[in-house]
Amino acid sequence: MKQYHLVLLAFPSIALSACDGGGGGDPLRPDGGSTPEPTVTYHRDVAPLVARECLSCHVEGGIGPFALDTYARLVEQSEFVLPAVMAGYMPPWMPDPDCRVFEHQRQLSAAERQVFEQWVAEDMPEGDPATAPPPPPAPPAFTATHVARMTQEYLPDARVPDDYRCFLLDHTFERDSFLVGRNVVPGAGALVHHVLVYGVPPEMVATIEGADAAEDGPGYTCFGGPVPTAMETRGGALGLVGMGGWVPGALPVVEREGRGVYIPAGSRIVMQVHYNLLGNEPAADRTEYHMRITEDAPAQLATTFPTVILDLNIAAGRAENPHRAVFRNYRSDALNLTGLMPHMHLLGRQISLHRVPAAGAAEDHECLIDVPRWSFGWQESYAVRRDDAMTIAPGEGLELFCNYDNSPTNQPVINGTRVEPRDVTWGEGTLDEMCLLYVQHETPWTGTPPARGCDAAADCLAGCTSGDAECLLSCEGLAGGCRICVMESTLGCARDTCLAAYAPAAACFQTCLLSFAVVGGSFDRCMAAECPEGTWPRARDCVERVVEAGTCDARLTACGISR
Amino acid sequence: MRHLALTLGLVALAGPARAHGPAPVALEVLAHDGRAPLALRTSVGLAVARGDGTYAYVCPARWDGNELALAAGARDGRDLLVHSAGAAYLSRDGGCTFAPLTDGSLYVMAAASTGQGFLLVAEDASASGPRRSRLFEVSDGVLEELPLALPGAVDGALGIPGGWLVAGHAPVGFVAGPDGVLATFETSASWITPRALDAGDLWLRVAGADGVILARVGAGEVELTAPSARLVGGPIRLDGRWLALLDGALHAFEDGAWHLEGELPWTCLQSYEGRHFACGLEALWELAPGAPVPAAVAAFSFSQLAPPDACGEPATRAACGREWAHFGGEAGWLDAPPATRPGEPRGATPGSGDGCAASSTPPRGSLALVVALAAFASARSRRAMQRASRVATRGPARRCSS
Repeated sequence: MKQYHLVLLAFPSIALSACDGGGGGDPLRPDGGSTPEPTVTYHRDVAPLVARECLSCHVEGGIGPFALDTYARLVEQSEFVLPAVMAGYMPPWMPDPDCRVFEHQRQLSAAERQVFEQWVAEDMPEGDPATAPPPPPAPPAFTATHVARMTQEYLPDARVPDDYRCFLLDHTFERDSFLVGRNVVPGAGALVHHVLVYGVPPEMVATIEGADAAEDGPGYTCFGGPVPTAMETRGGALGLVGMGGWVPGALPVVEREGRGVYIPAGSRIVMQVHYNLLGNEPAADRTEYHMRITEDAPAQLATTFPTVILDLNIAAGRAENPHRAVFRNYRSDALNLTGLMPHMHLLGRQISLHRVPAAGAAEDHECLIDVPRWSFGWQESYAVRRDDAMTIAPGEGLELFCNYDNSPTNQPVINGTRVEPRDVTWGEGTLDEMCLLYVQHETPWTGTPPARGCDAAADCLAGCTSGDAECLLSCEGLAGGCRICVMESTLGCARDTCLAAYAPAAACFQTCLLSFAVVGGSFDRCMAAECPEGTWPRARDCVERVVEAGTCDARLTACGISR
Repeated sequence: MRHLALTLGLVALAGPARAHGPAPVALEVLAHDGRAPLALRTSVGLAVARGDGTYAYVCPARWDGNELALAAGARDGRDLLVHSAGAAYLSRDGGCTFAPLTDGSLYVMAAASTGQGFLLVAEDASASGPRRSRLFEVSDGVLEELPLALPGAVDGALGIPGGWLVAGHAPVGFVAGPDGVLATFETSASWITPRALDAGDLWLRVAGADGVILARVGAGEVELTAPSARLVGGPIRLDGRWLALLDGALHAFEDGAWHLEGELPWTCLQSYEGRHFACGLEALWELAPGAPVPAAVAAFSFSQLAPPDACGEPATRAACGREWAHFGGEAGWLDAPPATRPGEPRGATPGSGDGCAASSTPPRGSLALVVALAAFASARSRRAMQRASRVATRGPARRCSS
């Protein structure tokens, strides 16, 4: 393959043009002496709002394109900043506050925007620094018990505007632990646009180490996530442990008192970093992950599951492509939601999550989160406020809604090339789409670590008096990967034989397969509640006969389940 | 079920990404006066030449705010047609103001320049059932429907010397021009658009389940030409050869297939009235006929882009300011005045080209620039230019008296 090399032969001479670079004075500078006493000043009224909402990004060396940390700098950029603030465009915040207000909402109230408006109307007076209100109390300093680091510095790839890279960090959990606080400390602050951190349980460490070893240099390329598609097997990746992330402006996270994320002994940490090189020279990065870890069991475990619509059909040229799915809670306990994190790619227009009442209940749907104008560039996770209760009782559900615009005039530009419409389905590439919303919830710590692999299945079988298939499909507490394995090894295994029995229950199959895979609980209970009367027992009996005949034993064994 | 298992596995790994927008890039020349582009479509809006070597930023707020809108330009660069979200908007003053061209009864799917006017492809907005396209000619700002029966719905349009072409896929693949249907063919494609016509070869871009493929139409036959790609630029005909970008790599068409020529930092290939252009992350290049590809001349660079002119209603002007800050802030355009020649760094000409006053010097000097491009070099030079711009930024913002 030919490679071409840049030879710049000449630059043109500089043409002259006439411009008044300052004549008429600088209208951005207020003439404080000729105006009445200002009612709004920078130091007293504006600076506190700027500090609260802007300076986590707009500081020298920060990821914001310009600094706003002094009066002069704010005035210098006011032509651009103030219209954006007054229009509500900045600070960026996607969820509709009429649906839900989350923790750390980055939004100015109407009254606060009016402060900016008045300040501009009065020619942006600086005021007296002595009138500045006392700064709000600083949040308590984050104290880490452990720091995990990249094993060496990484120089982002200058050939692409966006470099997505995964790194296996240098920390190994020697004992079962609970993560109760976390903080990402970016190395090259102007380049790092997001960081996602995952715990890698012992059974997956070799896979991640293999991915790391397969590519030269520190870390390895990973757009969709830390496990390369080719290395993914039988849903095992559901076993990764979410350990949080970081976006510009993010603060250290300390779990509520008595709540922690379980990390099994032998786990390691993999970190995905998105470097955005637009407007910045590549610089070596060594981002750190600071943790507060305890071995004392908490009262509540924080765990995450993804609500997802995989069957996306986004037609070329079509502006409206709505997709909707309901995930029912057929666990025996309520889900207490503590955080939500929506995710779509570049054609996404709207994503929302609603609580839907139990079948037959007359309640309205309750909005949990609504992002009416999705923007790939401003996605992040949202923490439920402490004074808000998001509870999904048994039988209730979560309705996920995603809409996509695949019309000719909503096609993205990817690495400089404008895309044209084509039929789009689910995938992790930038030309594919996703409809995905991570749900974080808390469950009481029972004294027993969460199930891993299919260990819990053996306990269910041992204590069960019904048939093995019914027993497994009623078994609560199975790990995510095991639930999928159980469905494949029973329902999937018996499909050809039982197709006629499945047919009358097709719609409830769809609901309960997804609900069981994603939310957990009892597949059997879901089918009993959701299917037309009598249809599920007939289908279940058929599956039971196939399983009892030993037809599915090899598949069950591959899951780690012995009948 | 296995599919479910595998995909759910991926779901768990699908790490959300965060970027605040892709790098601005030129996408298409809309009008050219034989010396320099008069109007361009970019990924952040339009750019219209001001006559002093700089380009005014024509912000999306002047239509519906969609920077991804499609556009076509009349030859003189004064008439500009933009369509977005099914609506069309026409500017007759070089992009300063836009007025709606269609009402809500039509959903515009495509448009093309016919030289002095435009072809508009639309569907009835309230129609249900199979798509059915209607064609309109836009001349002197007036919309007139063309009585042409088509075998299917139109996906895309292409302006060609003296006319236009349209193509589509539903229910059959077809190509049509002002004189009627040129070819029909069975296809499972999901989107078909016309891309180029020269030397008797008509090229279509055909998107299907397996990616995008270029198809050659000749003598009523449709020939799919391997390989398929995810992203396709061109093709263009230069020095007797057809060239295309397939997934960012330059390919030449020989012996019925596309053959790899090399990797270039190019993101589009386009022909405009006998001229040939390539987009890059920092600039638009004009390819030099007779010289070995990739010999090229810088024809436009974002360093020439000036803030939007004060056009239209105050609310539109304010929205334009926001868009300029949004796109320009991240790209480093806010701090220094624009250059007057492509390839020149922003802020390199003291007192020049922040849009207030103009020298009468056209950017002819830039056309003498001949560069050979290198893979990966573009991004580095872009950053170097931005860095240079930022060095010169510390003073207070300047304004021009008019």
